[in-house]
Amino acid sequence: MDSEPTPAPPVQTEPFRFNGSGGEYFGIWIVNLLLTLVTLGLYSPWAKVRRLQYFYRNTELAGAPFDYHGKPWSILKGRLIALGLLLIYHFATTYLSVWTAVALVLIALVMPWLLRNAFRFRAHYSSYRGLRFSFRGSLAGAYGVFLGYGALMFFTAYLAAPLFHQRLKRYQHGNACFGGSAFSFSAGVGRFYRTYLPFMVGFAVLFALAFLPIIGLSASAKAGGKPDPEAVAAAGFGFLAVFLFGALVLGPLFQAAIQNLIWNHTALGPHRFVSRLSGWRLLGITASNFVLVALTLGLFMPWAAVRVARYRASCTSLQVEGSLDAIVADAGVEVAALGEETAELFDIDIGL
Amino acid sequence: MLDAVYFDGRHARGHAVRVALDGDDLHVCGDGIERREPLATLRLSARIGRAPRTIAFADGASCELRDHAALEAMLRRTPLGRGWLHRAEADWKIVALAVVAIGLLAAATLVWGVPRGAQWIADTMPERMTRVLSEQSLDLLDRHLLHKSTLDPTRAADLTGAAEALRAPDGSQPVYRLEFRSAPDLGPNAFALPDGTVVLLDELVALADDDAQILGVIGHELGHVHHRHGLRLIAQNSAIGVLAAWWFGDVSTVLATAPTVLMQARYSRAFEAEADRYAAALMRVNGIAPARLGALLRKLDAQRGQGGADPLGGLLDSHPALLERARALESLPPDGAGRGGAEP
Repeated sequence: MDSEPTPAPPVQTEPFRFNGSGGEYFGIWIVNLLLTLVTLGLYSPWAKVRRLQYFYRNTELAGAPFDYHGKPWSILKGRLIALGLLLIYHFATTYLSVWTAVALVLIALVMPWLLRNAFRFRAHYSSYRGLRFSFRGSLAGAYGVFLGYGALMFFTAYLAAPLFHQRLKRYQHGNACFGGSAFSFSAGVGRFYRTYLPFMVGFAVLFALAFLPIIGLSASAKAGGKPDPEAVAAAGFGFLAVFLFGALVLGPLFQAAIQNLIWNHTALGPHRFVSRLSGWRLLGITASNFVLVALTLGLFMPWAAVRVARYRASCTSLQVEGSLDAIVADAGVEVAALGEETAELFDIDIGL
Repeated sequence: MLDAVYFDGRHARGHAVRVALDGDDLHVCGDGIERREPLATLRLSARIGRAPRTIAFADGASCELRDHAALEAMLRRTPLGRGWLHRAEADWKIVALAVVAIGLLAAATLVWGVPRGAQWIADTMPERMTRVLSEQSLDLLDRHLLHKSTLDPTRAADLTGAAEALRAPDGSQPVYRLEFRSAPDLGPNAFALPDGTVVLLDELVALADDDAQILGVIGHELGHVHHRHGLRLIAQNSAIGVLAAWWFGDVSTVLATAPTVLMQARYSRAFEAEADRYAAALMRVNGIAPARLGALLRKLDAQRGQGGADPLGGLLDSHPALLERARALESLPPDGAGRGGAEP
C-alpha cells in the first residue's frame, strides 16, 4: 500500500488517483441520459447517484476508494421542493407585487438552511474506508455566511467576494469531519484577497473592454447619429472575443489558483492536503475540451469530465502523519444519523 | 475464494481478508477477522465500470472487492448477483443504440416538439398578458429605436382607411391597430406585435410604389399576428435556450447560447413564409394580386443590395432571402383560384 521504503516515516505523501476512463464513463453517461429522457426526468436522481458513484469509487487515496451512498428517492424529493422554490421565485419576479417581496424574503430565509442541509447530505453520504464523512456546521453559522456575507458581497459590487468565499470555505471545511477526525481550514481573508486580486483586475479590464464600445455606440445613437455597421459588427465581435477569453482563459487560471489556495490550507486532523494544480495545464485541458465538445455536439462531454477529474486528482495529495488507520468512527455518529432525515430532504449541488 | 479489504465501520484501518460463498452464507476471514453472514442480510453495490464494489454488512462493516469477474462468477446464482445496468453500459451495441436514440429524440424535439410546444403556449397565453407584453415592447422600441412619424397626416389617414377596409382570408374583419413611426436606422420595414399592433415605418411607405404594396405588407404582418409568430418565437427561443443550457450547462455557457442563435434563423424563415402565404390569401380576398408584395420585396432587396446600410435590420424582423420570397409570391395566381394555405 505504501511506496516509501523507510520504516515508520513520520510524514508520507499519499497521492489521490482517479482511475476512471472516458470510454467507460461514456456508456454510463449515455445510458443515464437515455433513461432520464425516456422517464421525462424522473430517472435523473438515479442517474446522479450513478454518476457520483462512478467518480467517487474511481478516486483512490492510499489504496482505498471513496464511495457515495446518496438515496435517489430523497434526491427526487429534494429536487421537487427545489423546483417549487424556483417556480415561486420565477413568478414572484415576473409579476411584481407585494408578494414579490414576501417570496424573496421567504426564499432568503430558507436558503441558508437549505444549503447547510445540502452540505450535510453530501458529507453524510460520502464514505472512505467504511467510515462516513459528516458536516456539523450550525444553523446560525449558515445564516451568518449566506445572509450576512452574501448580502455584503452583493452591496459592495462583489468587492467583498473574497471575504464571502473565505467565510464560506471556513464554514464548509472547518465544520467537516471524517469519522471522529475533524477537518480544519487555515486560509485567512488576506490570502483570499491576494489570490483574487489579479483576477478581479483582469475581469474588471475585460468588463470595460466588452462594454465600452457598446456604450459608445448607444451614446452616438442617442445623439442622433446613424450607427456605422462596421462599428456595430466590431463591437459585437469584440464582446464575444472578450467573453470567450474571460470564460476560457481567466476561468481555468482562477479555478486552479483558488483550488490550490483552499486545499493547501485544509487539513484532516494532523494530515495536510497539498494541491499543485497548474493553471496553464488546466487551461489547456479545458480549452481542448471546449473545442472537442463543440465539434462533437456534446458527445465528448464524458471524456472531458474524466480528463478534468484525472488531472485534478493527480495534483492533489495528503501528507499523512503516521497512519490513516488510526482514524476511528466518532461516538457522536448516531446524533448525525438522527439529523439526517432533514438533510435527506435537500440535495443541491454547490459549486462554490 | 476472493481477495478483499474488510473495514469494520468503526476504524479506518483495512484488513486483508478472503471472501467465500458457503451455502447461503458469506464467509469472511483473515487478518484477525472471522465472520459468517447470511446473504439476505448483505447489500452489494451495483457494478459501475471497473470501480471497486462493496459488500455492506448490516452493522456498518464492509468489504471492498476488485476482481469483478470472480465476484460475478461467485454470486451468479444468488439474489446479490443481479444487475442489468452495468451490462447495458458496457455493451457497445446498446451504447450505440442509445446514441442513435438520443440523436433522433433531439432532432424530433428541435424540428417538431419545440414548435408544437411554442404553438400551444402562444394559443393558451391569456389576452391580458399578450397586451401587456406588446405595450411594453412598443414602449421600449419607442424609447430606443423609433421616432415619431413624419408622414403627412392625410396620407396616414388614407392608409388607415384603406387598411380598415381589408378583410381577412376567411372574410372576417381582422383585429389590429395601425401605428406609424419613423426609424432612419432601420430602413424600410414594418413589424407586428402579438396583440395585433402593426407598426409601419415611414421609410417603407416612401419605398412602396402604391397602396396595394403597403396593404400587402400589412397583410404580411397580420399573418404574423394571426399565426401568433411573435409569441411563438419568444417561446421557442426560451425553450431552445433552456434545452441548450441543460445540455451544455456543465461545460460552457458560451456553447449553450450558440444553438439559440442557429435555430432562431431557421424558425423565423419558416414564419416569414407562413406570413407571406397569409398575406397572399388576404390580398386575393381583397382583390389585390399577391405579386404586388413580391414587387415590393424585390425593391427592398435591390435597395439593400446597393449597400443600403441596414445593420440592425435583423434585430426586429429578420426577412431572409427576399428574392426567394418574392418569387414564391409571384408564382401564385393573381386571384382566388389557388389555395392560399392560410385558412384559419
